[in-house]
Amino acid sequence: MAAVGGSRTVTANRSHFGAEFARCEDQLAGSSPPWLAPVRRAAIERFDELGLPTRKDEPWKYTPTTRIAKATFSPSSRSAALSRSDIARLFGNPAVDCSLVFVDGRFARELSSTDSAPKTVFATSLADVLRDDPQRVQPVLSIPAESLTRPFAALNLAFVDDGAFVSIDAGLGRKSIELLFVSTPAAGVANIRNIIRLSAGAEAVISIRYASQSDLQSESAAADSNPLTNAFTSIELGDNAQLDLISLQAEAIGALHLSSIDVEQRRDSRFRSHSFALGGGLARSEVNTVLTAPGADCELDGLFLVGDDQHVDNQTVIDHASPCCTSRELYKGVLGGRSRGVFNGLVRVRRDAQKTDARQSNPNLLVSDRAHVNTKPTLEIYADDVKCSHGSTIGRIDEDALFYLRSRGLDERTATELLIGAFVSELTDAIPHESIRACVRDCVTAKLAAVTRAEVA
Amino acid sequence: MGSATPLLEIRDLHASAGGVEIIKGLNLTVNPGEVHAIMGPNGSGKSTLANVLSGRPSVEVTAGSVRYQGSDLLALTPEQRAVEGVFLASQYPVEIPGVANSYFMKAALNAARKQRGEDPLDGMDFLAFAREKMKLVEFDEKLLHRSLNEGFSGGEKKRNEILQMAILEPKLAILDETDSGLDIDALRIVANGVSSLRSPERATIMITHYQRLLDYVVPDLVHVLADGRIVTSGGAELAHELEQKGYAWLQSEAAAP
Repeated sequence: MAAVGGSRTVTANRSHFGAEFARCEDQLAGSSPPWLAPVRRAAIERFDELGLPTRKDEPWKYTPTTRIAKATFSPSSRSAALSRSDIARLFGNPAVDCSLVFVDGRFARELSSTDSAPKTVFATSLADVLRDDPQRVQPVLSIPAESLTRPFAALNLAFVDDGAFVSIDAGLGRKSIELLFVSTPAAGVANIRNIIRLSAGAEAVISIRYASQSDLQSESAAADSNPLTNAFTSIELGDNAQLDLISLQAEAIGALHLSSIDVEQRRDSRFRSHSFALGGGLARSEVNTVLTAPGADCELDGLFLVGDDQHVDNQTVIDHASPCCTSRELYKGVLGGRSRGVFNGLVRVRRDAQKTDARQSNPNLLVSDRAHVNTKPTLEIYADDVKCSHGSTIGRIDEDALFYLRSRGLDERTATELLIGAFVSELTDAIPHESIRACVRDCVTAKLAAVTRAEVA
Repeated sequence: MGSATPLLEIRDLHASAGGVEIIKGLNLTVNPGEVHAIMGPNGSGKSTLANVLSGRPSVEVTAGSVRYQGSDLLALTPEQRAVEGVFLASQYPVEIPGVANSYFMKAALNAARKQRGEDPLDGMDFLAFAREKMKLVEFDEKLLHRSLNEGFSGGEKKRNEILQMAILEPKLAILDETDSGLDIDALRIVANGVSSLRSPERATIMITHYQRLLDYVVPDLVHVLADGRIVTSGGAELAHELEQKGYAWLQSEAAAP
């Protein structure tokens, strides 16, 4: 593949990322199938057309991209070796059928455990699939450039290279799979593409967790060195399939994190998203689901819990494209320090989506006077026989409750932690897998203690 | 006991809430072993007094002093007062969804035990200890495993307060209209809780609007609070007199001392 020739098609006002693409295209081509090179090139051209989002773009109104704009790719660098005990330290050791570990976006086979996976589960790296059986992912990656409307989705496709490929068939009960992503201080951009498919009737719990190898706090001052994760996960749920997806983002404060999860749900499928955004200096999480056939049901739970100068942005779209579907959404924000939170949640009910039942809510708790939250729950309804509700609130710690606990001897910090814990516990409680739930709860508890400690001496 | 340090000594207390002076020069001395009743019409300052003693931040003390076991009570945070043995049974116990009642009580007890230099109780030991106390106040154990006061009836909330009091074994218990809205059975249970704490080292202040709780727990002293001051004090018989005559005669006395 003539890398130089390819890069020339990205012309004149070539973006920083366009230049990065030209620099990396050769390496990306590597062992990829021939059909992928034009897909990548079309995607980077599309990215350049779209440009980096600005505050004039509604979904990016509150989130600046200046820090993201400078990130550099280093697809060939192999990161420092991590051991299994490093992975256990970062993620705990939940009992699951299968776990895939990625370091700076690249599959780490030696750290992964796939041996005990039941035979209805096929889980490996996307890089392996692209090398060994590329037809398997050709339909899902051959996205026409004009249908790419989100710049970072286009960017992700341009650099598509590795990530998790998980395909689950029905039978042998509910499967549990962990996809663990570590970023190291050496990382530039970790471009992660996950493809998840549940066949008709399949059931699974999948957790996607992000962590940093070491505390990047000290690096956060040097804006140029912020590692960036740009993750894109596409999920297809067949008829009657049931998926609980836990996503936990606990990267270091110096990290930048972008994640999109796009879900397509068929008839009577059930999707539960449990999203936890705790880390990153600037973190953005998108969850988009399309309910394409009657009886599909989704529940999107989310918690964003941040402090210091963290900025966390949550964007969700629930698209009721078919009648008789139900959706529930509950995103909770807890903000301390000078942090900023954004919730922008859209529920769209299309004209034919009669008998839709949709509820959406976003309560927020400001733990600090200097924290901000922007919340915009939105209903867009084109059908007339529907049941929809939405709302958001912004509150502070209840002074009466705090006094009540203190008047029984609990010190102010403990009492505050207990009250914040009470606010968030329903989200961790809803995780259906016991040992994953315990890991998530530990992370949430530790973060909550840190946020509280910064507010209450 | 007369020469011993009073457990609580309030001198010329003035306190405001929301910028309005409510306590206007209140004096009260409570000795170990005593049960006091404070009665008075609505708006006389009864609950404000309870809030001053427990340290509610929204109440501001503008003058006077409160000494507890010989030290300045007002210098202590609410949690310090609690672990030093001051307990307020709240008139309106707060509902806190998501905080388990049992967890909360164990944390409260262990905070007090820490202050006393005792080891914390683990879950099992706490439950055994709490079961004894639950018997005393006829408390349904199911409520112990629910969220704190969430969905409790009015009576259950009050009983939960008395259970906490029984578990924490305070030196100075202040009951802020714990008897209001209770039926006779619940009233008897509250009385059991108070009576069980009666000892030469402890004292109780019962703030009440009605005389009927005093049929079950006979106070050593009854004080009448009107317009932010104690206008008259007497023995248990004063409560009966108030029941018959109401508060009007006292208010006219307070206006023209």
